[in-house]
Amino acid sequence: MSKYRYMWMGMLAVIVLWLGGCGSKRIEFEEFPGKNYAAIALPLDGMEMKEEIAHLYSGDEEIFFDTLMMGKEPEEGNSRFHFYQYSWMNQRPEELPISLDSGEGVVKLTGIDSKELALLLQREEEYTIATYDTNGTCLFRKSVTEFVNQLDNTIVSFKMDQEHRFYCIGVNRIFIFDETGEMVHSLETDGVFGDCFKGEDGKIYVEDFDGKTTAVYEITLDKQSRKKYADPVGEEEEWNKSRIGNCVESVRWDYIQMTQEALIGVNLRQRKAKCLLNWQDTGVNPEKLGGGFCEISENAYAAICYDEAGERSTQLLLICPVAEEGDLEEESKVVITMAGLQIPSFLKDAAYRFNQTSAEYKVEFKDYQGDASKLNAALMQGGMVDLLCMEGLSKEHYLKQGSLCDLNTFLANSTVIKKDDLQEIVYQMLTDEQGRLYSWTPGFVIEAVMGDRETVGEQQASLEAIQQMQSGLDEGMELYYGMDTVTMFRNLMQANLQHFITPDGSHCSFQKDDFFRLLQLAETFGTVSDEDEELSMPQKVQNGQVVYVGETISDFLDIMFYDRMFGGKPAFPGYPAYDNPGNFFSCYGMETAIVEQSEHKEGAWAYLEYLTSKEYLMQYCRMSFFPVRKDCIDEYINIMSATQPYVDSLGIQHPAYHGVAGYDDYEVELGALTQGQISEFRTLLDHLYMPPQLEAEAWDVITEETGRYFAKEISKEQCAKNLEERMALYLEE
Amino acid sequence: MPDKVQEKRTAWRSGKRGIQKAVLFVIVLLFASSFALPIVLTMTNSFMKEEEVVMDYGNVYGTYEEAAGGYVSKEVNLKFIPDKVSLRQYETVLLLSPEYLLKFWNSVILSVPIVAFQIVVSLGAAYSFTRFRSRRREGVFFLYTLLMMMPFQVSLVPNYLVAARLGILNTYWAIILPGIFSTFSTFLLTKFMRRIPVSVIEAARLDGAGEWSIFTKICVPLCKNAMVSVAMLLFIDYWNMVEQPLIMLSDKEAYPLSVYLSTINTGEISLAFAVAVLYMIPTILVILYGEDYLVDGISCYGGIR
Amino acid sequence: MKKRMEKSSFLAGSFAGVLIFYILPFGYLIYYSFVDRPVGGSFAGWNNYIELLHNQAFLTALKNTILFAAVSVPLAVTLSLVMAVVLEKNIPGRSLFRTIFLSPLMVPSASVMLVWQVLFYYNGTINRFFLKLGHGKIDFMNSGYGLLVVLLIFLWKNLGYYMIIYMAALNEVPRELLEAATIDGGSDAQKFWYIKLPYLSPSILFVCLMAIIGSFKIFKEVYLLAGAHPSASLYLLQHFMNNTFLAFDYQKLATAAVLLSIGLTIVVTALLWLEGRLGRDLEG
Repeated sequence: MSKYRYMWMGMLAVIVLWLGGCGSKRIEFEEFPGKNYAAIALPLDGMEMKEEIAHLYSGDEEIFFDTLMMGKEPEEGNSRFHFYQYSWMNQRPEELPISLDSGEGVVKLTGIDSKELALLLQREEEYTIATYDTNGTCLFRKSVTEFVNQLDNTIVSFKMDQEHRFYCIGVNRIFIFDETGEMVHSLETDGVFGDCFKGEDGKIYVEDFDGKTTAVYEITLDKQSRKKYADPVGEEEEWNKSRIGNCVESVRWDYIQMTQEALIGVNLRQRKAKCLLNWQDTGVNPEKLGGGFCEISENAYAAICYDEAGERSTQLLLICPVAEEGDLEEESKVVITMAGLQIPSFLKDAAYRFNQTSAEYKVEFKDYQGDASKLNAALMQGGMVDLLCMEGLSKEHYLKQGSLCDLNTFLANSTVIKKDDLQEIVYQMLTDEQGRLYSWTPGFVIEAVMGDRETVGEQQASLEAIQQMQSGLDEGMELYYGMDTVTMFRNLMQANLQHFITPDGSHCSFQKDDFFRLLQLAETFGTVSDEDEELSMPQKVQNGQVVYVGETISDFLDIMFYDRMFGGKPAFPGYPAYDNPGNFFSCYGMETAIVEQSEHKEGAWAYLEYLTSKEYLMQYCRMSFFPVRKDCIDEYINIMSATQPYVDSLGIQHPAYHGVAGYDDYEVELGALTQGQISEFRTLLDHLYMPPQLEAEAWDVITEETGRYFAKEISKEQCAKNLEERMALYLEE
Repeated sequence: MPDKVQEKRTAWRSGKRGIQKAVLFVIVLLFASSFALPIVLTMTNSFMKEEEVVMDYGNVYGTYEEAAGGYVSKEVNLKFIPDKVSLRQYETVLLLSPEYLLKFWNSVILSVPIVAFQIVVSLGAAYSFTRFRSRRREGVFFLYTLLMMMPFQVSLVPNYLVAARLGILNTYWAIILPGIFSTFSTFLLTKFMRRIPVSVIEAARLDGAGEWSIFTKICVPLCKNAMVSVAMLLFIDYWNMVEQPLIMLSDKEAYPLSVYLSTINTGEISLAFAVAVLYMIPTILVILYGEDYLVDGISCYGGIR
Repeated sequence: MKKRMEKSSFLAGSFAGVLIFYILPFGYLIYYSFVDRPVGGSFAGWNNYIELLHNQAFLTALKNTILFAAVSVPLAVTLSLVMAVVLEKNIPGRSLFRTIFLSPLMVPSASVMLVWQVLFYYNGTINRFFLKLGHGKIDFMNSGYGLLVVLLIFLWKNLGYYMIIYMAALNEVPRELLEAATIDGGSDAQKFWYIKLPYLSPSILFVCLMAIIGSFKIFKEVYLLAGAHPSASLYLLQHFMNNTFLAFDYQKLATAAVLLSIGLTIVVTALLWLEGRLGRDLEG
């Protein structure tokens, strides 16, 4: 071997150089620019109230054009389309007199310099390309159905270039039509193509997302081919996972791309990418910008935003730099850091808004995405973390180490919220035996198990009774809807944890009959069939095919729906358990604590206060979870039980409430909240239980061992023995 | 003893020797093939198509059929020869997903400076342990030996805290600096240097050479073998390090290849083999290159103090 | 004075670095073992040590680690010696075999673990083989056989390297002594015991040290094989340390680490002393 020593060395050198050379083709990512952006909602007088905005196009030349946009009004199974040009000078949309044939829907809108609109229209299976000018004159119209249908395709995206050539991007083909509508080309592809855009060089590019990576293809007409570029944004896996929406044209870049953290401009040939702005600085949650996005000019962008309820896109935002003076204020703010394994978006949204309203403090996130060791190292460093989001972490561990701060003093001195303002059950759940309050949450949900009161009775059935019921079931009936062995066991375990693990978390015992009974009960559930269900869950309940349903109740609409589903007589017995705890109380991932060693406890508390202020909860937590404030709950009850228009304590007028809810295809009109439902809710609150939080690793151990038992690999005694051994080690640590 | 008898005896002995050798050869062959088994397996499996990998090995990771997009067999099959030979895995890793290449370069940036500078620093320390003997120095050497033996968990978090204090967290320095001062190479090089005959050094001193010139002109050149073998071992060690980058670096794109490999094993097992093979190639080449040095170099580690 | 400075200057660079990056962190460790909480703690005296010695998990881990080291190190040392001796004989393909034995060293743990897992998985190759033989399946991970599997992996990974150390040392044995022994009619076994072994004793010490280090490093493989909370037979000291850190209980980790260091110090001192005695006796 030594004779070839130089050969090995040479090979090594070659490989290192080659791989290194490839590696050095890494993308130059320029860092975030200064923090001076703002998002301004634009006035939309002239557009219909019910209209949803779809599609924006603003041209791709250096000159600042008015933006083309389209409004979509739902109408009796069809939609009505209106076309507007948003005039930046007059700050209002001006309607364009374009009318479409009846029944035609718009798949995509594009244009040339925003003077000419090109539309891809679809009526059932027919595709038509049409162009209009801004006076409403139809310049061109041609049906391209034959080409599309020939190859059994659907058009995903559409673009027109300067020479009036049309590019239709289908699922595995790209059709190119010339200005007369004749098909010039159809390029076959093997990908699932996404959107297309015109690059800086005037060529048309198509992005292709195959589920894992995105590549960008340049369409070359003369060579009848496509040239592939690896998408720089997609190269960094993290960026790829956090992409939102498609690529959008830009003046200075080949395209710009929204990701969850930033807006990125990309130049494909020079392999450069630059982060243009950081969403956290604009105060906009990028996930709300699903309707459309375009660049208006250098540094200014227009975006279609969902309204507050998150249902329809009815807001047009202008995102642009603000004046310099704002900067100085920003710099002097005290930074409060919130760290967690998985920070929910509600907390992030609230932080954006808090940053804008607070003069002294600014909340920033450090989301460790499951890496607990890094989180702990940061905590040990001291001075790095002020707020700790407890989702996925075990509160007991941090309590034992004295890392969490008792919030009772803050609560006592607060002007925004007092202890009495909290719903009692919340305070009960969050305090320990000595009455210390170690974490905070803006809201909660209930994981309940429901059944018909006449069938299941008010009280919770014992395990034996459940087992009897399970064995006595008729064909086609299900005891618990949609439960298979694994899920049922997990739920049973959660309801019975304190039976096996001592409250102080020091000992566990699984080798007892109680455990075996749980195993046996879970076993009887078998697997869930995969076939398409003809009947939805509510229908099954009403047919009497399902006895218990386990669901999350997160607002009053749910209560109304389930109440109706069980014929007005629901019972909430919870999972069968030895100690009868009741239904589960869950903080919906939003449980947050203040770190004891933090130097900015007042700032952290200010943020928590803001989260639970009446105004904030009333505005933003609707339909997501139950607020922790008693007055908010009362207000919601008032709003939702109002049979006449009602003005709430904030002065907002609400019409008479008329709830509509659905589950799969089953939709039902629910009317207003009734007294009976309200009292059901109150009784539900009386009997809640917060299951002890075991870390994910401990659950993994449980799942693994019991999984082997369910797969018939080991006996139940062996399973219990193994489980006890491993859990004992876990608890001892 | 009469010649004939002597010859016969020798002949009989060598006959016996021959059988002995053959038996030994077979034993060693069996043994060696079981040693090589996992590596050969990894290499041949890297030529499998992705679906096949998932099908055969998915059960080990509890991969579910829907998630894998294919069929996962209940029993796990160890296949030597893939059903269909395909370069798909390599294609994906090398050409389609550039992460691999970037991470490769990261690994190089981490390993090479550590190895190079650790040897440089250790040479000086080794020289001082060789030339200047005193009780105190022996004590320090003992300390070095102890430090070498500690498992990394012991020092991981304190290193993190020290790095945080020094402000080098989240940069490569947080990994490179502790690596440069690791005492492993000091131990090995000291053992080697102590084998250099004292007479040579004494002669140089009599000729009037100062410490520095003895160091550079005599000791270091003589240690070339040892340096190469130490470099090899260090390189393999640092090429494979996982925990330190994980905790010190928070930038996902700065992770070295070893970390990427460990995440891929739990995520996309279909690429695992190809990445493993590509990952092994530098270490294989390094070993092949330096194998002889290794044998020569370490012959002296066990040397007399 | 100049002499002093000269003497120290060679060591200075290395020692400064070691001080900052190894001794200082060790100091942190000692500090943490005497406080009662990771951040902002107060002095807790010997509490941590006392609690730790009563902690079941720690004791299990300690027992397993010591057991493993006590079995694997001697086994590794002797087996590789045997292999070195065998390979000394002029078998064809010697250097190829040498390379093959050395190859496990270069393989990354993560990828090869897949193969080992497949072999020892409950539905894996070896169990299928057992089934064919009519023997029942063995649950390697959970029964006492776990450590056996780890032992196999440890030997597989490290034997090659130790063998090479011995081979190199065997090369050093002076020819003349061996030839003299042959002429005097000594057998192979006698030659080995009385001539080669003394020359090997420093290498044996060295291999012992390396094997101890190796038996710690094997934790990575165990972690990949059985996860963070394995069954009691596989639960090693590093599992304990890892998990206590994740539970933010750093004092336990620090205390365990300090105890580990003390143990290692004792072992290494003993080994060095032993080698000094034996070496001196046989070397003369």
